[in-house]
Amino acid sequence: MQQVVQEVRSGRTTVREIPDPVAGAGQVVVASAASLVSAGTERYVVELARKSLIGKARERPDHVRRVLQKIKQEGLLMTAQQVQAKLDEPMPRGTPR
Amino acid sequence: MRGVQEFKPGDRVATAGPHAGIVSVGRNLCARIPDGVSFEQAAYTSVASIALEGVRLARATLGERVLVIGLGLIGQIAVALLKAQGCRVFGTDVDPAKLELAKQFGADEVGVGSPRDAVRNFAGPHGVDAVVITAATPSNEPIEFAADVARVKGRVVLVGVVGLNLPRAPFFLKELEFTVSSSLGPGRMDPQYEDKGVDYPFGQVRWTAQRNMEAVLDMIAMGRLPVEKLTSHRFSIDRAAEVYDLITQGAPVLGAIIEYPAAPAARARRLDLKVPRRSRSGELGVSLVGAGNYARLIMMPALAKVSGISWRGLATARGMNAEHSGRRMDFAFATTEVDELLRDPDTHSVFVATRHDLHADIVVRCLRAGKNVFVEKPLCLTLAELARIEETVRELGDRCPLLMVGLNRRFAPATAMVRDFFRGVTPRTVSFRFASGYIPGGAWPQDEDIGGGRIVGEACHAIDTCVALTGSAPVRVYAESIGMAKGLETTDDQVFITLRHENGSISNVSYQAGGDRAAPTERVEVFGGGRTAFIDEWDTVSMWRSERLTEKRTGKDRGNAAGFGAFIDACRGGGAWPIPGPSSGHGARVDPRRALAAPRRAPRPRRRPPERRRRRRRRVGRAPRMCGIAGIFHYADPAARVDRRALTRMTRALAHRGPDSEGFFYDGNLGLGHRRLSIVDLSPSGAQPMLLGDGAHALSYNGELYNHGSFREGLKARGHEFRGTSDTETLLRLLSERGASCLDQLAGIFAFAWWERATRTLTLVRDPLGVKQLYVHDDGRRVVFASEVKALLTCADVPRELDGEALNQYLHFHTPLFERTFLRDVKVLRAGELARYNAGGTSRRAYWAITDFTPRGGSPDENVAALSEQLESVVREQLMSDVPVGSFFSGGIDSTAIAAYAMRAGLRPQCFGVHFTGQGVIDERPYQESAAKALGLDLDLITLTGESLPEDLPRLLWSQDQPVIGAAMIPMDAVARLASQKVKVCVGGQAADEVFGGYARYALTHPLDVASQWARAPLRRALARRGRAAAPRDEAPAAVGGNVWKQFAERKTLWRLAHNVRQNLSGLGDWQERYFHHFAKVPESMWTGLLAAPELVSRARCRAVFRETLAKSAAVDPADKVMHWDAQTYLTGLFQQDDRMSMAHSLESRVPMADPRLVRFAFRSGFSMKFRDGASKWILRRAVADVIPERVLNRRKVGFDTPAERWMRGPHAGWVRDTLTGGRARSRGLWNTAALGRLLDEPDHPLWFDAVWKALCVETWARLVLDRDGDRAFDATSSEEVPA
Repeated sequence: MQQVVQEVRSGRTTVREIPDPVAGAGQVVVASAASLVSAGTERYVVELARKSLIGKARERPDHVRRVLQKIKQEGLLMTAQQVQAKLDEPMPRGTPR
Repeated sequence: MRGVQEFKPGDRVATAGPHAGIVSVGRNLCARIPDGVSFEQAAYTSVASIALEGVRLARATLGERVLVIGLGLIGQIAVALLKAQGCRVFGTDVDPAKLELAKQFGADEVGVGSPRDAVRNFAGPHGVDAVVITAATPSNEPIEFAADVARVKGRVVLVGVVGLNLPRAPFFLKELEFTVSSSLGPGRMDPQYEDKGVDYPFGQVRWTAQRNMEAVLDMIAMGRLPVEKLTSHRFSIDRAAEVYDLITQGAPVLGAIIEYPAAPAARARRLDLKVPRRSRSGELGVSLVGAGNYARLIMMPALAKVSGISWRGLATARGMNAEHSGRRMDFAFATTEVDELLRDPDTHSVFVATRHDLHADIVVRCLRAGKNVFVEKPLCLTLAELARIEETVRELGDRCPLLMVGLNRRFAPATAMVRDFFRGVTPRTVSFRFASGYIPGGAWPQDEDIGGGRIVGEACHAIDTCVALTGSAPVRVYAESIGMAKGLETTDDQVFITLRHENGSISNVSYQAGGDRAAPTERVEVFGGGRTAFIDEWDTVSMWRSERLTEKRTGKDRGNAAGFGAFIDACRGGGAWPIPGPSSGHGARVDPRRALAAPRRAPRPRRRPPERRRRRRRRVGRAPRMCGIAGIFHYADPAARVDRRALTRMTRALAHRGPDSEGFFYDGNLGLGHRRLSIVDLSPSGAQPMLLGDGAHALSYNGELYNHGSFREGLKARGHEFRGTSDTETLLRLLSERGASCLDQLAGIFAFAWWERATRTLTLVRDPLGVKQLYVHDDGRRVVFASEVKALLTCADVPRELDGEALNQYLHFHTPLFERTFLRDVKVLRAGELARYNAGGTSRRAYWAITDFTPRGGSPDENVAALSEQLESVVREQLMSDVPVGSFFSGGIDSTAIAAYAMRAGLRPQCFGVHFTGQGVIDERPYQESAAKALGLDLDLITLTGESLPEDLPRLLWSQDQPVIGAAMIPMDAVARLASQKVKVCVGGQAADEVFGGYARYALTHPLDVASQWARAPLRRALARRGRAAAPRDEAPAAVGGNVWKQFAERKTLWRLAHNVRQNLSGLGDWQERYFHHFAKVPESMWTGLLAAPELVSRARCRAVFRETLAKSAAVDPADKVMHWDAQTYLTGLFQQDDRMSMAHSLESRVPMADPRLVRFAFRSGFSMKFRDGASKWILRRAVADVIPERVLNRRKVGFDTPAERWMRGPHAGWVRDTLTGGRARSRGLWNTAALGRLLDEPDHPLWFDAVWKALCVETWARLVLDRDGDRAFDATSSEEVPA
């Protein structure tokens, strides 16, 4: 199936072919007919994603504090790896927040 | 649609899922689309619900004036909903283009930007009642605008995303209420609601995310929410990316609908990321389940460094992650289905790094599919899951693939260093501080169903490290967590866990979630063998030894890479599991839950049918406990396994001791066997060997613990839950709690084998006075033990060599001394001794000894009263029984007294006696009959004629295991057989003479004292006889018969005294010498003449042992010293005879006179209480004077005198001669058969019987044991089938 995916690092949104999901306990698998992109909300998210790392940091000071804490505990290298990985993680688009 | 009832395939639903062709959403984020509502309209459900939640929070009521800032999708819908609510609505937006649409959605007035005056005009002088902010802008203006136009106590609800510098003044002055609305409504962001599908009760929470969705769908269906007017663009999913481009380019997009093609029927859960190819040979195909932090940051990079691995499939719950990470890490395919990995023929091994609750299920599926599994810790969350995994492993047997848990710290270089440093040190002490820091109670690691909590989920690392560092699996655990306090969400993540390991090591895990995150987290301390080591943060290793410190750095290496390497190596090599798994019986190593709960063992099958058990359970009280125990322990070879056939044979050789059933317990290199009489156990809870803590302790026990009741309350108070009422259980619990230190407080007769799995230590214990026996054969690596020697003889490898010194001691003292038996390689535990066996070797020590000989003081009458009281309570305690108790009855003081006390305790013991009427020895019968008559007891008598002596002697010696004491075994055997026909338990007066000084020979230590007593005694007796008529009985003077000198008056005794004087004139003044010569009747020269190897006999060696033992005794008084000697030697021989003669007939013989409490009492009585007024055993005679008839009290001591001598000289003389001088005796090499023949020709020799009897017994024993006649004639096991 196809899914709209955003890369956190670049903010780029793409449509990717990915494996169909499986229903976990208490879940329902639904074949989509239509979905809605709410322009205002999504514009904000996309803009955040497109900001530089420093811009992102300014926008989310709570995340920055967590990163600093992690550096103290797990060392700079480990934390950097984790942050990089987090930034590489794809974000699904469309789930209302 | 797992576990979901409310939706069915084919239903049209609106969801809060992502933009994807197929979505998987929680049941609570799903709402049915009413008829007449199109998919496109329904696509607005989520945004409309967000608007509705904002409107609800604004609590706008009919007639109120409300401002909506921001007229995007949500703003427009909010306007329509507020209108439906009966409000007057003012809408504003920075974009004038939106205003017209707002009017269509019902706005009463609209304005561009922040039209403060227009809003004030609209609302009136007080301002608007509520403001709903549905804008998305970093600007602070919407908040400031809202604050400016709101009325006093107005409500401001933020639905969108705006700058949030709240201007204090207006909020303060107007006391404004400000709320940030959370998405769809209550339930959103709550994992319980979203993921687990737990709904909030309708009555309590009327509006939830789902119910808001239903409400807006209903509004759409009613035509009151014209959402379709909001659609500005339509794209197919292939071109969806363009929407985002338009949006970011600032194009006027409002509602953009993404349309999806009809989904194909077949699910595409596997996505090939590369052109499929067959893997190259030699490559290890590896698949992975889960792509979380651990998988991506630790597992994948570490495995990427291992060459020869090819990545096959990556499975995650959300396909997006599988696809993304799969591409990055060069996987062959991505999937959402674990089964896809299992179906992949090129996948050899699967790494599992999912949420903890999925581990067990995936592990089992992988193993069944034949894939090796590496599962991130924990292996599973529940014992049920563990059992399932263990069952799978067991079921698959040899076909079971590798299973390893990611307990990586055991592979850390620091662990290896410290293990190396402590090599050879056992046990060790390990302390692990794991300060992991706070995790909120709602987070998944704290969720017991998902993460398992932090102990199972994380502290397992520390527990496994302790296992690795002690080199031993945990067998016992204690834990305490902090108490609950206000503000604390979780208490079980601040704990101390204490573990006891198999090898005796202990460890402590301090898991701390209550500290500061910045502090160091992990520190391990190890101690033992004079060495100390610390591991800090897996970075620094400090090791001290001989006051020198060595420090090493290991670069924060927690062993992850090494752990993966070990697994991959094992996969390649097909070798053993890197961490021993459940199949090795050490489940504790793989699962922390297992470590926190005592390992379980399958209950042993019970042999008795249930209805029989039920019947017996009703009976309570003290029943016979006689049993037979046996065992094998390869203490030096942990890997050795017990030969079950051998143990079964050994145990069955004891069948007569417990004819009804048997039980076995095996634990690797240990096996315990037990034979019991069914009546022994009144409930199945008394089955033996008895286990505690599922085998942490095991006990195979033979005996009777008289004072066990006194321990039960204390044990119960300390938390022991008794399963039954047996003394076995009391003893086992006592041992488990206090170890061997409890032994010296036990009053009873027993021999037992106690197994402690924690230290793999076997402890063998014999009772204080040695009433019960325990024989051992120890070859330096393995010990075999049993209640009787004949059981050991069923082991082919127990050598049958005569112990020459045991023979020497028997010839002098009538019994081998202390630990010796007639077999060189078989020893018997000493009385009051315990022996310990474990991998570290063996040790023995005395736990009980008579050390206090200080006379109590007090008047004779006070002493007598104290004994009387003590005696009564002891007899009462030992005789309380619900089974018929019999009494051995000689008609003498001791047995009559016991029978009399039994009557006082409310019993009427059936009495059993033996006599030799008409055979030239003192006829006991009149005494027995008159004593029984006086007490009013029934007496069964048997007359012995000695006709069957040639048949009886081998049988009795086989029963007895070796020659010991005298011919008393013949009458004892007869009376035991007689009694066994009517009762299961018999009491008797045995040991009274040794304990209370009944033998005249003790007088040899105080000849002058006794002589003067004798001189005065007749006068006293005359006075007493005269006074007795007038005085009450208990006031009668202490003139109670038992004239010592009468015993010496016999011809033989006089001869012996004269003989000794002749031989040892020089030693006559020495009481030790006098006693020794009296005891060792037959002179050395006579024995050396009768034996082929004269050097076997040495009076000097025996004398040395005798003197040495006397010197070691804490007693001061010579009489106490020799009585102490007798208690340690002669008495133990007597008990052996007593045990074997009764047990041969499945009869339990109890000996109240040898109760340790009475014995301690007796040894503090002093000579003056034992010999008084010319009477031996004076204190006992006086104490029992008021319970037994006078004619019994004053009769002469006889004991079990037998006419054996007459039988041997008369009817069986030929048999005796054949035995001692025939071919077998000649070829034995032990005897000077010519000299024996000459002795037989000299019937008047005063020591004829003493010498001939012993020679006859030794030769008969040699035939039975050394020549194996006994195996052929009496082996009980040969007729029974021995299972493999």
